[in-house]
Amino acid sequence: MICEKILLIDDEKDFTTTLAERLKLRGYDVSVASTADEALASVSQGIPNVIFMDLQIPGSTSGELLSALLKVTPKSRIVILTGNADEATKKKSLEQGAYDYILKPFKIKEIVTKIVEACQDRQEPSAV
Amino acid sequence: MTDQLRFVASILSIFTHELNNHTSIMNESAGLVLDLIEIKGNSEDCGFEQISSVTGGITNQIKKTTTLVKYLNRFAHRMDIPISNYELNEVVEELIMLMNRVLNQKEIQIDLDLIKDGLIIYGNPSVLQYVIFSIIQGFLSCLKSGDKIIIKTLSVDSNAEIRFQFNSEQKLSLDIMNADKKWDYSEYIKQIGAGIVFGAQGATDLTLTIPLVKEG
Repeated sequence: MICEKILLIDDEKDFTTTLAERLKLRGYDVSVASTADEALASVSQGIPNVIFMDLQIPGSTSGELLSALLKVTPKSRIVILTGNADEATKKKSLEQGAYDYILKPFKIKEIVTKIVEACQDRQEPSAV
Repeated sequence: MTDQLRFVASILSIFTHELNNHTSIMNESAGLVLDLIEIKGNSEDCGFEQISSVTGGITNQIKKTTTLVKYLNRFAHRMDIPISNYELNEVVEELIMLMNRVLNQKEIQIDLDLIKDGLIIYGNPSVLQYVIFSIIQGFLSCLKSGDKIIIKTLSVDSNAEIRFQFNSEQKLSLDIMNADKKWDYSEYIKQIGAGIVFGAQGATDLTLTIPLVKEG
């Protein structure tokens, strides 16, 4: 699998561990982080292909961690995974540089499809 | 939009966000059980132990969600009869539970020190909740990760008191408290017949005083 490194960032540990387990069963290499510091430490140890993150993470205000990650790891595709259905927040995140915005709860198929899409998109510029 | 409508909308947005998180955990846990049955079902290690653990997690999550829904339901029903006898501790606890996500997000610890026997107040509990919410919101923008809010209920003479103590490494003052005036509660304090006193430390501690219902 070309695109295998996934990072999940969410302060709900029950959520990240369960989703991580489901993605591992599908062959992905998954790391988890529950705070902004943990997330930044994790990307410094290895660049993930796709990052799924909630917007409100302890240790950062809304959107702050997204900005930091976009700077630190510009090659990763960052998908917002949140319970916040506010359209303005979605628009702002996408304008800020998020790859997509998925509302919780979701189907695992949606996540896997997004990983495949994001990885194809990530590889396209270098293939040209 | 009126202040109280904004307050209810704010509580609802916190609650629904939290509810989406809760259902999401249950959704993923149920999905993991199906994955384990599908992927490991025919193998020697069929994952029964893990399935049992995940199922237990779903049960716990349902309990947490049910508790949160009960708090919201009680919060909403307080508006059925605007003026009534109400129990102070219940009103304080319910609001804090509904605000918990915002406090957790900022890594602010909240300690509730509620009087043992409870205190009965006659008045409008929803307005009191608005006042408490506004006081906390006023400080939230200047509190940092690791700061602490202590809320204590007590009885002094013929009054009930709610004491707020904001422990922060930042220097808190009346000027920075609610600087944007987004949550103004001065008019509402009068509505519930309460008084507010700031402690010697300035805005880091304040007390709301509300008359108790007189027996007989």
